[in-house]
Amino acid sequence: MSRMRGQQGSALVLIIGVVAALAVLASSLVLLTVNVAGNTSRDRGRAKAFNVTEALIDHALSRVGQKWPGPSSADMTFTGSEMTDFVGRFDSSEFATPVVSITYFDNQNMNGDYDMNGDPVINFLDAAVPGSAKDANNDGLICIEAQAQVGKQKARIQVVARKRMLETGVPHGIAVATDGDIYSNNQKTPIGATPPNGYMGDFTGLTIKAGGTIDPTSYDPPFFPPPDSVQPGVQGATDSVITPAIRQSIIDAAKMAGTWYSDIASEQAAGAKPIPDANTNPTAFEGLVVIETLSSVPLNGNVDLNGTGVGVNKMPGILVVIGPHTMYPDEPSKADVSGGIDIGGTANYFGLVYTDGPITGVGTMNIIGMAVAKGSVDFKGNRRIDYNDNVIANLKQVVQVGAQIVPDTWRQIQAR
Amino acid sequence: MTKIKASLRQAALERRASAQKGVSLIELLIAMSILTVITTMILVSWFALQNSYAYSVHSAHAREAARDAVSRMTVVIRDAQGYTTNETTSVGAISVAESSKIVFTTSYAQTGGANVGSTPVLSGFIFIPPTSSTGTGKIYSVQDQVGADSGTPPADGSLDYELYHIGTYGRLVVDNVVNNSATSPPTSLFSYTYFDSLGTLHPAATSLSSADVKYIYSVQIHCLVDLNPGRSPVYMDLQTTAQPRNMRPST
Repeated sequence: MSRMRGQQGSALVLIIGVVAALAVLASSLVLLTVNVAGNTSRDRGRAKAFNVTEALIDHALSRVGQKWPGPSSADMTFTGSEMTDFVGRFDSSEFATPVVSITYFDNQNMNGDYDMNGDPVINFLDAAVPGSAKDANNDGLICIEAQAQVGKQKARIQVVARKRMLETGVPHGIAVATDGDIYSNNQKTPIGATPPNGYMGDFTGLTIKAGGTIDPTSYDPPFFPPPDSVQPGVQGATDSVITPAIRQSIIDAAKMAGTWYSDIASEQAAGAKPIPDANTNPTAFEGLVVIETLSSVPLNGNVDLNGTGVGVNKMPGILVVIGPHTMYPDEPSKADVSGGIDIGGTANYFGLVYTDGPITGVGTMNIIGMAVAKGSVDFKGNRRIDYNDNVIANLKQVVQVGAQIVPDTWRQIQAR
Repeated sequence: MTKIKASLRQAALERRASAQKGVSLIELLIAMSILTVITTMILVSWFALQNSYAYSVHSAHAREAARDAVSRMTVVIRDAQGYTTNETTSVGAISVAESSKIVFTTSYAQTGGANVGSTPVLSGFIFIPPTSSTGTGKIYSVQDQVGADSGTPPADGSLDYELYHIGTYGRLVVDNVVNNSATSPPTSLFSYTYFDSLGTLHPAATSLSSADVKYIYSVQIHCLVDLNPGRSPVYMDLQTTAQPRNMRPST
């Protein structure tokens, strides 16, 4: 009792006051920290979700850019393995299990939806209709929607993609170009432009270019009026028609599209497919085809190779037959060229034919378009080359080198 | 015997009286003074801390609002999208680019915006500096209103009417913006990076001609928000860059 009676002072009051003050300060600090951390976390989440979504769009563009899903293609899907591979590219510590999706649909009203004004509505709901996840109307456009969720944040982007084509720059009006000679054997003038397959466009005369000589019996004179139509002794004749850079772009595009063929084992190991037989598998020669071989490629079937329905609207093909030297011009160890193209049979080929070897022709096969050969051109028999200006005009529709976003179609839309 | 008892009682009373002690008046005054000082200190501290806490809460909300506003502006400007009204007339993604105002077309958060080919809406952000009538500085978002002016939006291509009646047609994005106010350093809310017709890069232009707006590559947003309005200013400085995706040269 005497000890308690002896206690005096205000320490307790002071301590309570100080503790209260510190508590308030600490609360303020915690509040501020939590607020800023929450805001930052949310901003970071938004940015991550948006960035992953843009990466998804790039991925989808890459896919349709490698091989355009035309009307005859299967519906485009974002497969499970593709998704796993995509997600695996992101650091799991920063992007914890992102949920991603890609929806492809054509730019046409597939499900019959209309808005209140009666206008057709085109949106992701069209993707539910089988056959819509590709360029079903073949107008070179396809819609892509991608969504990603990172943490609690989501983002969704819609674009319309179109094919990006190679502008080959091939000049018009040249029926044949070669760095070698042009032969013919029997006065049958195998080079011309005889309708209905031959078509000179706006030209009144065509041109032949050769690094060597040109046999006067190899061309049909009415289509090659003097004085400049027949040009022997032209240095770099083939490179002036198809530049090495364009040629390399064509090769790269074929590799990307899966139309690169070879009978060389190392190239097959690198991804080239076995060379198809033109007689039994003519559809393999449609569109862009690059064949790498040391031999000659026979085109001697009795079926049309990309030649059925030749006309103004027919899409030309590009057939390239080359050896390793042309395939890899920067590698000195690869010095061999191909054996060229040996045409025969009774078929048609509608398009541009290019080879680093010779072109030899027997039989009655007809190349409708243009022929370019580093080696000599030796034709026997009747018409072998019918120049067709539509081939040159439409070459820019043949070689797809990628896909790109149509201007003013990028949209960030409400995530689902 | 009786005398002895009385004597003893008297002695006891005297002892008890001599043992009693008390607080003098001076001691009492001193103690009261000390307690008054201490109490005053505690109360002053308490109110100060209470104000501090209230400021913390208020500034936290202000920070959040400011960050959301800048984020919103970034997303919408990034979505700026031109369109074609017919075969010959096209409307650019951004039509006005000034230091306090940007006007563009977008389908972001529009009804039917997820429908391919739907027409984007003329929209904009404008900074109204503080005046005696408006009070604090504010950033508004504006959209072309159907029937608001003589044309039918968005074909009229103008937000003039809506901007003039900002109180009616504007939606407040963020308050207490102090860009270019008397107490803050001069700061443009919007600045633009663009390439002119000669290909020269202009990294921080604040007023572009109608010919140059179509070559905008990115929009810098610099927002100064006062977290302590009405008192000594506490600036929150927010900066970001929006790159309109539809104005990329590659697309």
